[in-house]
Amino acid sequence: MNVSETTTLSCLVFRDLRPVCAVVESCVLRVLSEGEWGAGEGGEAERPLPFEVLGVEGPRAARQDSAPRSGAARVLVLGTDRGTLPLLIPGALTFEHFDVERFAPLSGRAFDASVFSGVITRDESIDVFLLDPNRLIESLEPCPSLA
Amino acid sequence: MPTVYLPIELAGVPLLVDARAVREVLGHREVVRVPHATLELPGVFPWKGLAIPLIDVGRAMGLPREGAKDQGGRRTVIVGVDEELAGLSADDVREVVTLEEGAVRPVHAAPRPFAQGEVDWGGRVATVLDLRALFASTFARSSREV
Repeated sequence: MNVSETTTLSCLVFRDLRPVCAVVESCVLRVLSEGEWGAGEGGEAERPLPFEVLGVEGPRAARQDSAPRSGAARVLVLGTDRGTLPLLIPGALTFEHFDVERFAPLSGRAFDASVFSGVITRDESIDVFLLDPNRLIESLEPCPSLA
Repeated sequence: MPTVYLPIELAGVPLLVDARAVREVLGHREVVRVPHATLELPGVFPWKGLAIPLIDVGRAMGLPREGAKDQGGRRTVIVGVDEELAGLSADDVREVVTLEEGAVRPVHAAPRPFAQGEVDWGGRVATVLDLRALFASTFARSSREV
């Protein structure tokens, strides 16, 4: 993702996840309901990845109560350099714009293997973790053989 | 050759940080847990346009946890090693001290992980922190588990 050429990051934000996550809009090819995904191109052959691959907590854990989820799960079809990746996201999904100056990359090799490229800050605190679909697909690939 | 150290206090244990590595001393910072975070590296906080990892030095060194906060101490010391940055959690930070080379002796009285040496410290023993080793160990573990 090149954030230096624009002043605004337009993102789809998953506010019911903890920590809150987002993905840049241009990386999202389509947003479908689970039913639409099952009946369409995904079919039975390809199940969308569960949100747990992000290492985050879902809506119920986030609220620490038994309230029902605020929105039906949706399938986000993410576009990566290596193809498409369907990801199942529960809860609320909002479309938000962030000033690019609020983007702070994750610093250092501690996060080399993270599926997140950085965070969106707000008033000296962290508001949103920004998902990098390319990193996500890399994390799912088997490690190369040492042989 | 004398070296300047920043003394920090953690769980009642005095630690000395090479002042050349210190970028800034901050107050408590709210840390947001990073998905797949390790205990030694519980989260990140924003600093000068970057999301900096916080190293829980007490947990990394196996210091007593009584009264310790889960994430961050009263002070956060930003340090840099080989262009890598991290925050160190601390209960307190003292005035810098200059020590002659001979004042730092090999670790003997208070062996701890990431101890580079030790110094007599007002009736106690202060541990000189090996930042490079601390970074290497913490970051290697983190990148395996992220």
